[in-house]
Amino acid sequence: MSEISYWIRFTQSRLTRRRALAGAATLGAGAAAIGVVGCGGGDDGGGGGGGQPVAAGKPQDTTGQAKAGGVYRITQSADPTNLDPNRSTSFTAQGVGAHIYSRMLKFQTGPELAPLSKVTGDAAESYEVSADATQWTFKLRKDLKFQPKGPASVNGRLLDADDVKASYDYFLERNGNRAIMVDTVDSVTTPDKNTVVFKLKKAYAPFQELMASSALFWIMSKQGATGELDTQKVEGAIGTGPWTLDSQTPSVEINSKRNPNWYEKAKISTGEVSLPILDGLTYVNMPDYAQNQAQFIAGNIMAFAVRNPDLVDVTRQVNVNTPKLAMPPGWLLSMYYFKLDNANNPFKDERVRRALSMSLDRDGLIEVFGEISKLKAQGFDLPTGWSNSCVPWGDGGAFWWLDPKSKDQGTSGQWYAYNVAEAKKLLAAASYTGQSFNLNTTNTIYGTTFDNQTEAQLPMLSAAGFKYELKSEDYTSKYFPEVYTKFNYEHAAYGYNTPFATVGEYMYRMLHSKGDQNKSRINDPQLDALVLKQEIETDQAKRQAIIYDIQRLVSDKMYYVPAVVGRWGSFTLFAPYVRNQGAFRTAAYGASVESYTHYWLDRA
Amino acid sequence: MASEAVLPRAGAPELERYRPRGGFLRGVRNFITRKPLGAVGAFIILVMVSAAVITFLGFTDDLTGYRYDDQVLADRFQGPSRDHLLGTDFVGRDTLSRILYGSRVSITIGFLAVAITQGLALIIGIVSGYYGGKVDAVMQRVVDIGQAMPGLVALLFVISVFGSSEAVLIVTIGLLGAWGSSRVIRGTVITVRQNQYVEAAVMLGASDVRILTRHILPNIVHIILITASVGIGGAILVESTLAFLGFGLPPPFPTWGRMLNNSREYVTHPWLAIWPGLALTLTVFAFNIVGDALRDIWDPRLRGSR
Amino acid sequence: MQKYVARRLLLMIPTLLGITIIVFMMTRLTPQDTVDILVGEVGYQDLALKEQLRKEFGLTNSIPKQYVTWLGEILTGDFGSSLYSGRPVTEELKNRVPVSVELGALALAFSISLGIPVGILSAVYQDKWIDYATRGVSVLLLAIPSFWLALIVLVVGSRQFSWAPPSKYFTPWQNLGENIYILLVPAIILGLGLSGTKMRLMRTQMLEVLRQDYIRTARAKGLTELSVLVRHASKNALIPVVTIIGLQVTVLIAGSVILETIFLIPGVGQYVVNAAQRRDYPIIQSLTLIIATVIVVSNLLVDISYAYLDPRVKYS
Repeated sequence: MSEISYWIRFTQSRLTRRRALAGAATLGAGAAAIGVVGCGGGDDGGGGGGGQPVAAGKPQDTTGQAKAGGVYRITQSADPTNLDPNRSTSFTAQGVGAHIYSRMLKFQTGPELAPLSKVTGDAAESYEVSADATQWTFKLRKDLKFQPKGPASVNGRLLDADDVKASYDYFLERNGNRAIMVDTVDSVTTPDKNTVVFKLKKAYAPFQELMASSALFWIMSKQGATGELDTQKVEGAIGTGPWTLDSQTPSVEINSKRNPNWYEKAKISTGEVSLPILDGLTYVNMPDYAQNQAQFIAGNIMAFAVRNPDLVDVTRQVNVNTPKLAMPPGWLLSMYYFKLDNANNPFKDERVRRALSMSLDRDGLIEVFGEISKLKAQGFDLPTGWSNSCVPWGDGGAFWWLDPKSKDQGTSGQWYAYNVAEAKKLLAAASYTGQSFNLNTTNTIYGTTFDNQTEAQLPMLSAAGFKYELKSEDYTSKYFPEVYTKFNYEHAAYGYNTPFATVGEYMYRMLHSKGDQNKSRINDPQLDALVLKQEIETDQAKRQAIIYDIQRLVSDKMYYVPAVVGRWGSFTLFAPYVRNQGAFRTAAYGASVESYTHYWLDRA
Repeated sequence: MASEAVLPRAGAPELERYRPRGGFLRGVRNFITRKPLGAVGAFIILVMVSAAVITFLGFTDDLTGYRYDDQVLADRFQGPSRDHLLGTDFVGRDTLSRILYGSRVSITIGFLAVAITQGLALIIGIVSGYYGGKVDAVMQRVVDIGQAMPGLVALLFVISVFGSSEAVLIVTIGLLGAWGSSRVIRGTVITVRQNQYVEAAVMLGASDVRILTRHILPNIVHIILITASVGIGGAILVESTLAFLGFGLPPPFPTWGRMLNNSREYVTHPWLAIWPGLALTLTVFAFNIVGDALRDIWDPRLRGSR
Repeated sequence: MQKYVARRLLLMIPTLLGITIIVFMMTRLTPQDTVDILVGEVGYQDLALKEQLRKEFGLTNSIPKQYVTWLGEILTGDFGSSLYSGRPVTEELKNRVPVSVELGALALAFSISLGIPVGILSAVYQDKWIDYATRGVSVLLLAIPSFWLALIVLVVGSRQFSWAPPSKYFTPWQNLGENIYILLVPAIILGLGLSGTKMRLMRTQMLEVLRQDYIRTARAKGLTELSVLVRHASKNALIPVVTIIGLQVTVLIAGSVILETIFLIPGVGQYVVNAAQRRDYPIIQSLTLIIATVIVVSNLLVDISYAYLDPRVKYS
């Protein structure tokens, strides 16, 4: 079985006492014992005939045998919009941040760890929380040095609390994502050179998740934060992160080198060294999928996220030793949302919403777009899952997500079943007899998978008796400003939601009556109370229970009807000499950066 | 040297128009034997236009047995078979139906956009080229501006303000091409105007209208035919390029460009890309070839040795 | 003639002003502005931040004021900076534009060297099989969507021949051989599409010209057929063809977005599309200015060439 399937089993099981004691969820050794042997018959050295099995066993941590050096060459779909993550909220800019800057905390990675399950220190080596969760004191590392680059005022010197404060001021001044910090943080003080204290406006138990987020607060030098260094240029982008930005040729590639001053250490074949093991990274601009495929087969790039329909074909064309890593998708929520405060629309009635959910053949869609059975027959075992009304299934959220197919979902689970006849009954009971409604959506911006899946889903609605007028609008000029943010749609709309960095954001922003991403205009006092309750619960296990309750409630009312765009696993193929992929996985923006610090190349 | 380059010969003011002898059917047979390539093209156009008309009238489903959005997930990615003559797409929809539906959009946009383009180009080109002087100077500045407008950028903006509908695409694509075509027409008009024959007519007091219709227009008909036939193809290609980039008509309506765009995701199932690409190619090819053949026939100066 | 050229150059100014004004207004009158898009989905509600950014970008001034400011900066050589990356416009464009220009130039050159001789050939052998073959092929070439052809080349190349285009781009200064190799396939694909029209137009024109009396005279005088064709016939036939070439010059800058994307050419095509979508005003303005200048100058050159090709055409 792949690493993933035992992880999936974990999420479907009840929380055991061991994990409750561990505080934040980690996968104990017990879970690792479930299904480790490579499945699909035989090991992957043989190859030949039919498909090739997934890399046998769970991903190995081979750091002990690692050889230092090498440049990892991969692709990016576009230039980063800006080298300064405070000046662009795009995931490309945040990715740059993840390479060169540190944040206060980060998520731990390791062969036994599920992504985003355990918070650990980055720039801060430890933190304390006051009993009422309103004061967070962070102790900075004493050995964190800036990259050996740039003017003497920055080059290689130690990071201190003033840098953090200056960075935070800059963040507040400029960053498009600042809202959540503005709402949560009251003040930031630096009692001494190594201590930073965040005083919150209210009790907020998950604050450490915000501090560990790779889309939020990046720590720069005070020179960078105040503008003395131009952080939008390669020369001025200097941080304390694992990679030093070396050069950028616009529209062509970006190069970074390893930061020899980084704090994290590991023991490789030649002794203890500081990570990263690789010498550097090169990202080549390659927006086109077909081009990516051709380049990988030709051996010009070292990793390729192959699409499921092409998997069998591509693996036949490459070296039998090409490792393949099966991964769940990212934490992205696609859903139908409804104008619930409009007295005249059919979706005021929860039976109509439930009917819409029941008209969707979720497994069928996953099967079609993920080619699940066909790949399974060839020995490629892929994880799949259904998003739960307000919590997507995917990497990074496994701990909080309640599986709609499980018994734990309770009676609200029935609304997820694919049952057209039942849907029709519900519509009849709600007196919906085919009144036409407007369905707003968008196209192109989210990629061809989204567009194709939208096309595939619409006839399912018609088959259940829904009559709608599709309004597929241009994202930038109509859908985003009107529908997505101002909720100016008439009856129903369909689209993605921005992946939030923390589950708390999914809860508050989308479900609370005052939430700014409350697209369905939900106003449910019971729900509001639950949302606020999970915000102040410091015990992970208890918080999880509350969030499970929320999911049951929202599922029962189907305030959002979740779709399954992208809710299937996929494979990444690697050049035969890449090592440690899969052993140190994380999720969300800039996820790969964390992993790359552990990669090494096994070749002369 | 370049004296009568593009003019009717002196003493032959009227152009001999090709008049089919023996009625229409005879004419058709002559066309087929004399211009076999053109005949092929005409046949293709007939097929496409019929498909477009049938779709417009709503009979396509009866013809093929499938609606364009009839999806059967289990039947996806099939190759050509008796049930599905051209196979199925990524959600099991019948490709033939979708191609036929797509023809309506392509033909409509092609014809109407070109009508706008050539109409406008004709007016601008003739006025500018014939009158010359200040009129020319001013109009050519306007043409410069029209040409200098970056097409893709302009389209993006228009779509973002007015949405992406057939009307918007037709008008915008039509306008975009008008400036360039007008330059071609103008160039020819300038040359024609200079010739002694026209000067003579002017001296004799012939009105502008007469000169334009009797001398200038006949000499630019062939140019218009070429640019129009190229233009129809061009307009269809622009629509499909836009759809390929993701800016064309929104789903679920099948346009050939959109089908090609969908197929990018499935490079290992080439049938998805082959049919719409072939449809596009053949249609554009057909219009061009027919334009060629018609011009060859109507313009007596170009008649071959046979 | 000189007066004519001088006058035309002077007239370039109002044209350029006109186009920049139109694009300026067009981009600013769309519903969403740069800042709305910049702050993204999360920062959309953050009105204070948006106001602050608008002030910083100078977007709070009235449109005429913004235009005049921009004009003033252009005249002093300051093209501004991208509102997204913060880098100067000149830096963003100076790497990308020449690449597209090179691709376009290669494509154009290829299409001319293919289209014109074939068109002449087709005319000389009218209605013989060569004519049918070349006409059929030439029309086919301009009918095939270039992006379709590009995809096919890529997919077939990689699956049947294990070939992939080079993934690293070299400028001509760095490595001329590699540079040409990278641009070759897309230039040919692009050029094939462009050649069709030239072929056909050249053929038509030649057919007309070859029937003229003076051609008969030249033949009667005993000149070789080649000399007749090249020295006498071709020149006259070229006028509409030259016009077409002038029109296709825009391909130098506008390039082909899709081909650039598919073949990893770091040109300006995709960049412009992104800039337009993001309303990166300084980039759009500067690029429009460049394209407009190229077009206006090429139109002027085409008009001048009329006089050369056909001496009856006089400019005063």
